[in-house]
Amino acid sequence: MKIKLNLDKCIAAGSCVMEAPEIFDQRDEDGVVVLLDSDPASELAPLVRRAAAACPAGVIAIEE
Amino acid sequence: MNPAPTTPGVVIIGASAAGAAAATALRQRGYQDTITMIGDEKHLAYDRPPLSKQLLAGTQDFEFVQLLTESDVTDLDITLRLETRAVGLDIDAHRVELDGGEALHYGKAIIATGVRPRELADVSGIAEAFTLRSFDDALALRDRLTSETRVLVLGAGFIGLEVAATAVRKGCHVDVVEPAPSPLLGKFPAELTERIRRQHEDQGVTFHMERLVRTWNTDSHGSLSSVTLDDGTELAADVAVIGIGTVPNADWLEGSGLLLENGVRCDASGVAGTDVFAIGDVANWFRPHIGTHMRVEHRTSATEQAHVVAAQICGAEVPGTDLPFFWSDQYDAKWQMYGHLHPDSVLEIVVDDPEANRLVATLRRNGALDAVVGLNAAKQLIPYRRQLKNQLHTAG
Repeated sequence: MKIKLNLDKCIAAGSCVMEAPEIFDQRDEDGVVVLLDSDPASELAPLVRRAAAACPAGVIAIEE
Repeated sequence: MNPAPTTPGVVIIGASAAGAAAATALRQRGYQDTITMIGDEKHLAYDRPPLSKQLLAGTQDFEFVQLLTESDVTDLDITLRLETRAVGLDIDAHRVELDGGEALHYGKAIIATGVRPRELADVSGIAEAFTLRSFDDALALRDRLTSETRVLVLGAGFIGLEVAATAVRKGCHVDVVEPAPSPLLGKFPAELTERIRRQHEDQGVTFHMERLVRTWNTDSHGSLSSVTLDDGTELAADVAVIGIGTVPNADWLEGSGLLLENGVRCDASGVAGTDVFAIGDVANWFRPHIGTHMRVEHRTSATEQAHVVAAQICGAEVPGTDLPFFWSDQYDAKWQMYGHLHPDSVLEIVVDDPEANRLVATLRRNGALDAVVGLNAAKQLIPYRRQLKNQLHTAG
């Protein structure tokens, strides 16, 4: 699966990090999302989908 | 009454954040029957938090806030009825009554009708007075906020403060009038609201606390020219923004038999009545961790509650509730709060770095952590967020 982020929308809530810390992190200076793995293994798909749904700003788009 | 087949579908009343999340969650969980969604706006579902920020500033447009596109609606097989208003609910007959006389049958109904801004009767005839809730409100107000515009903000809540910050950045002169002694009363720790006020004052905003507007003065063309406060102060004003609170859109349910108390009263899983759920800003859910009902207008709550209800409808395990979270962006300040604010919570500032404009504060009762607040401290809040989340999952 491919993950695309719209960083302009990120409000640094960190919901994605709480759901999938293997895939997402936050920048030190402003907490904006950092993608650790842009093409994760398919077993991680449910985690990534939960992270995308949990994001309060619609930052994460998934192409499966 | 139209004769309609009693298909066991879901009807979602409300096509904004909560409604859109419910439709999406149902399909994600494999729901196969019809999903009908009705909304009274003309736009497809969109996100409201950016309306007082990027939309008002004019740096972004509809695409930035859109939650569902037309192709999403097709892919999710949603029967979407926009500019359609529900006027009644017949629980026994399983029918949603629409404006115009039509009725929709449902197997399950999900109420997601949100809130509307409290209107001020005094300004009903004034074209330059705005509330800010919808995308159309944001566009109309955006076009009025230009350099040197004198803006009167009524209400020092989140809407008022965010509008003030956006307006200042557009070169406006802003006066904020508020009957309470401090901004965000009851919504944010009192010790921190003074910092927020100072951030605005440093940018030239003038606060008139413990004041009301006594008269709205118009010129010979009927346009707003100034306001007179209850202490006699006159403030020039070209535009007014009324941010004095919200009213749940539950009026249409009067007579339905549902309990309408601070919105639609529900149990801990969003059940309002037989085959009827309510989610989002309109919904007043029972909170087992606190022991009372609480209606929460946080953006994250809409999505979370939508998933809880979708799971029930699909007969699946209901996900646990998440940590309450909200944020506010004003100037270069990104404020965030996780957890619950109790009246008895004691605030402790644990990080205070004026150079980085960064702050972290905990809220505790008898040492136990209730909430954490950050200013430009998203990453620094992580350990506290983890602790709060663990507490949530171990609580009874």
